[in-house]
Amino acid sequence: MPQNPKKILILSWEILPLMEGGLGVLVRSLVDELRRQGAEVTVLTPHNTDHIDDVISLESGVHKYSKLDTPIPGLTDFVLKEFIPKGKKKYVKWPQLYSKSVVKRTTLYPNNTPIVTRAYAWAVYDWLQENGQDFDVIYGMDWMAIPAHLLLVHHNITIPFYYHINSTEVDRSGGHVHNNDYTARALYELEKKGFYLAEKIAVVSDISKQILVEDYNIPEERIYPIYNDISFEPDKIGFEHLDRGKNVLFMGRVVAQKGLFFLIETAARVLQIDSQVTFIIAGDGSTEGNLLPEIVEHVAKRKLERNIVFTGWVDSESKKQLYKTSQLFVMPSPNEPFGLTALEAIRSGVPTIASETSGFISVVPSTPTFAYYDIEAFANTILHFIQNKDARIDLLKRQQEDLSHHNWPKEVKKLLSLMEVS
Amino acid sequence: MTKNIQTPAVIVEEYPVVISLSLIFAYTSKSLVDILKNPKLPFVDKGRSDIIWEKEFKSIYIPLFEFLYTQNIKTSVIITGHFLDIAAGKYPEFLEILQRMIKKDLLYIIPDAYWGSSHLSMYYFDWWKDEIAGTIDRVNTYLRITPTAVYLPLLYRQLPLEKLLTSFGIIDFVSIVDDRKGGIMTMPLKSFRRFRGGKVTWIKEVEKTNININWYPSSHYFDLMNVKNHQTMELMTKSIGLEIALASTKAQILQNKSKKKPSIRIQEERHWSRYSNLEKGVFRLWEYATYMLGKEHAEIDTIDNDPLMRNLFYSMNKDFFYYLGYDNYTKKQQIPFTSPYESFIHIQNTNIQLEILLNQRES
Repeated sequence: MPQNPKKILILSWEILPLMEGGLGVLVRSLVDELRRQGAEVTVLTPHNTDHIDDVISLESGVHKYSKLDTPIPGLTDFVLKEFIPKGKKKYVKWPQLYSKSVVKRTTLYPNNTPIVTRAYAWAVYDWLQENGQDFDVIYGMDWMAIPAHLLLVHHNITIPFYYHINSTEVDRSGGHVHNNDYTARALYELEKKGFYLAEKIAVVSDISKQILVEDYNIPEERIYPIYNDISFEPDKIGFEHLDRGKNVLFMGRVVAQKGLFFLIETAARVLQIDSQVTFIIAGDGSTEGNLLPEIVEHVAKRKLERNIVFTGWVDSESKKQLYKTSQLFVMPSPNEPFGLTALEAIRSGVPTIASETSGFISVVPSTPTFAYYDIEAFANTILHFIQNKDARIDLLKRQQEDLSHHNWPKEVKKLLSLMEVS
Repeated sequence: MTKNIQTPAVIVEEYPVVISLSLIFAYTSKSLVDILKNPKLPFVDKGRSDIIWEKEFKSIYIPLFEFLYTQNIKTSVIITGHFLDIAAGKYPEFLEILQRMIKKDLLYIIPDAYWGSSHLSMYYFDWWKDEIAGTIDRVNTYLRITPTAVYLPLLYRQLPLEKLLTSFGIIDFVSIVDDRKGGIMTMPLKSFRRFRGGKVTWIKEVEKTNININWYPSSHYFDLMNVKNHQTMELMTKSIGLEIALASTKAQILQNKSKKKPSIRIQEERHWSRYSNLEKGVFRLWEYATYMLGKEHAEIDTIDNDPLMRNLFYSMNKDFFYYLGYDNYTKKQQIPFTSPYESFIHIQNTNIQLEILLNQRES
């Protein structure tokens, strides 16, 4: 096993600024810190990443393994040409690629493994063949790297494979994998297979560790929490126009995992008592599982349109201003592996409350929590802090104190030492 | 210059079909964050609206009405003052066709609110009345007639119609209903107006005056939206022209067969069941916007003198019911939003824009 690993190959679907959720931000921070600590890092992504330094795009390799020339919404410049039989060309839409059995059957992955990840796997394999396998560790980010891992094992490439799990299918499906469609079940099976073969698995929180142990039957000793962090510089300015003095901010994708229905119900309860509170929902839907229509309909149905306002997608600049404009940040997720936005909020001076199933609580234990389904408790917590400035100041002080003990370089060092020990 | 009064005995019998003429604005697609960055961002894309309107006038309105004129098809139109202003400014040939049709008794004019914001009647009748005054003025100026009917989007007994009667002498009120046939009901105002079950007693000066409640069946109502949003606009114009001609002619042949007097049930209060959650939400937002404006600017003149505020508020009050229709998103259209939900969020954000502007004005 390698001592002082220096050469790390990271397989990731996104990296800032190529991002949709927290994964891109995490990978950017990880790569920067690993390099700062002397590791030589190569990142392979399936996207066109010409504008990002030192990141290798496998776009052309992925093209080679695709047959269709149909662009996939949400993945600009990314086309499929392999695996889809000609007769099935009508299945060209992104969600359909997930759900229809349009691919050749193979025993390598579970059925319904998304085709783009298979194409990516072959592109990774090719790239390794061409550029040599001189890596101490391969580091896969989330499930998208698993088909590549399985393919490499199949071809007897024995570089130790580590995973960094930002979210599992159990998180994404809100803890109900088996009630979901067969794509979700396929991803769950895929994750089980990949995690079982992994050397070690880094997870972003204690909650994620618990999920891997309980839902995936992975031995506890192979799982290590590496608490997330980001280099976030808060802004001093805020949207003064919106500063009504009682702004409660939610920031994230509008998907089931984020618990927005609970937030709307809680808002209804809060507004019965204090009609001056404004809930700002920042973020839009996602390619998969977009809940925005349902949430908007629900808000209209509950007659809350004046107090719950949607911003749509926000860029990083506006995000900082929204933090500065808000008095309280909420995270009502039923399953939140970590929740980077909570750290951003605390760093921006916004006290934060969260569901007890939010991963970042391991780093900020002073965070007031509630069961995500306990609307009364959630509403009372919001009211307590939104109406009480001293309580907010006190909470923020404690949260920032907690956060000051958290150190990203230390976490990355821990990660590197894990690789050495193995 | 002589001014005529159109006085058909029964509007729906003499002019059996009705066409809606109003212009839909193109909106700039912006989010709350855009508004917060710059609350003075324009709400309406005027340049794009002009381009769309030019296409509509040249490919739809002018050929369609020329066709109806040459074929002697009788029809009525629900028209907005804004539409007439645009036509007078840029497409006088269209107004000329309308004048010819009126001269030959082929066209009956039913004024809508100036900006097409007829739903305003449901929550701020006085402002709606001012908008109606705007359209009546344009009809007088450009078409040289004095209208005696107005369009109401929803008929219910709490509408203070006496305000229109005393101000403009309006006695005909026209609505569109989901009925098989159109019709007319004549009744004294005191029988029409009710308040919580009882007749109103405070409108004595006009209570004995008869008013006519007219209704067109929705099958004889043409809003031309399908034509506007079709790729082959010219062909669709021909098709809709023939459809209107057929409906109008057929109705003239079939009328007077039944001796039974038609009637409809008029609800006492506005009824929400026909509106979706999103539409009801938009109504509430409009009410709130009206409240904000009413509170801070008691005189409507204040917003009339402010082009940004006026455009913002009145534009908010029209078009959005179209953008909130789920079915309208199934075809390729010039809708600036991707879904009714996005449209809803847009109007919600515009409300905030209005609030910010008013607060800035105050400080």
